[in-house]
Amino acid sequence: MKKSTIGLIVVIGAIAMWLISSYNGMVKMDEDVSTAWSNVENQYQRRADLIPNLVNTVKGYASHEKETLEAVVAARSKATQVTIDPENMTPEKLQEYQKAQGEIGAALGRLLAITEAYPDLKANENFKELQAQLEGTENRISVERRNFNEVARSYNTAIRTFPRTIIAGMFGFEKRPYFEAEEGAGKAPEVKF
Amino acid sequence: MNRILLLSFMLWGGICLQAKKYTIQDIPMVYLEDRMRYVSNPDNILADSVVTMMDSMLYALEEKTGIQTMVVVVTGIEGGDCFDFAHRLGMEKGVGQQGRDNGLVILLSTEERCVQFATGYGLEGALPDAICKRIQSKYMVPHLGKDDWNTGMLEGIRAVAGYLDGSMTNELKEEEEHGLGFVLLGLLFLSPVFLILYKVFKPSTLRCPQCKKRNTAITATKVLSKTEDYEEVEKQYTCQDCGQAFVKTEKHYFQKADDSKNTSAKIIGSRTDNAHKPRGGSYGGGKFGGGGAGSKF
Repeated sequence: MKKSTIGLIVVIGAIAMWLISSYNGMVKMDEDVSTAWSNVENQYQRRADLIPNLVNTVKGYASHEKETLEAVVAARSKATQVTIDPENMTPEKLQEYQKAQGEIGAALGRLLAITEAYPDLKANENFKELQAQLEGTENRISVERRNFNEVARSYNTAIRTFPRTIIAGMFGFEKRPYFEAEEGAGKAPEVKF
Repeated sequence: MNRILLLSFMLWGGICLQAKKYTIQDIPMVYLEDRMRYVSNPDNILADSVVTMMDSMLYALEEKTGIQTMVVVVTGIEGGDCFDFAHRLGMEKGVGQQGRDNGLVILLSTEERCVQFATGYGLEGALPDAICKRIQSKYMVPHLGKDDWNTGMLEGIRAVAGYLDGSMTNELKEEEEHGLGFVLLGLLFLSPVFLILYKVFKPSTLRCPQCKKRNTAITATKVLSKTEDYEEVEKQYTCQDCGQAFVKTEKHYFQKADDSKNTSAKIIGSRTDNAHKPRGGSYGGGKFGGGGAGSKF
């Protein structure tokens, strides 16, 4: 074989290996983003699962706070209808999801605020435990959201930097959206008497 | 003029100290210097006796369960959010064993008036959020609310250590012991192999010129001549099988004693120094998922 032929084969081989490893790397990162997303969903689900118990406990002590209780239940059922397919995440869909979850958060905040006026409820062991679990879940949600943003950022940077951006285009790797900071949510309103 | 300057400087310094907000980097990592210390108390908010008691409880806990704890008691924290600070401490320092994620961070900020437990992923089952909250409200907040830091923290650590006692085993330690057992067992099985190898590859003795067997032994040695560099020796061999005796002459060269190395007096560290130096610990790289609970007082 001619020397130039061998050289050509080596070069093509090297390019092919680079293509394969880059592609595999991007697939792996894509999967990492999907995993991070399911972690976020899990924590939001965990919060949603706490709500029925919470509503029932509060009802036992503050039954005439119907509006606030019903608002929480309504927000929860509305949010279960907003689902995201991790493969087709667009910024708009993510915003919609975030908004629905944000409404649950706001309704919960209002509910917890009114419980301040019921000392018997506050002393109830079950309620105290639920409150602790809710706080823990909110913390977990923020941890997983932060983690998701980080993973999505690594992925987005990888598919947008040259030369991998060529492969990304060829095989249809798309940019993933981020969780934006929630507007107006922040801390629950403090109720002082 | 100088006195005014000094006073204003002290005042400014005092104000700065009062308002100090610790960053993650500012927190002294006492565990890394001494593996029996877990409580970081840079502002001396806790009394030394309390710190010692807490350290011994947490050391016993780690020995038994492998749970790595970090207790931080400071005035102010950067960001003002107890959960965020405690979580970042755990994640950035990697508190907890690798893979088991059984780390625990306990943070008290007297300025923010909050106490926070942050549990690693692997500890969330043994110390759930609700229990963390219960321990805080029952044993800690009543004292912390009255600025009784010592009692509040001590009772809290005692409750946590008591709750986690027996919750899990120190797997890494067990693995070490098992490992040693396997090694010994392996050696036992391999010893016949070693014996055989020794017999086969033993440095060969001289062959007897008569019966050709290699079963000879030295029966006598005679020095023929000696110089500064070598001595000539005549060795008498006797074959153990046929009884044939024969002699062989050899030259033994002397090893030059290297005096140059021994002249300089080298000071090697005294033994007593090493005896007092504490062994530093290391965090295993445990991960935190946001578990635990916090309370304001």
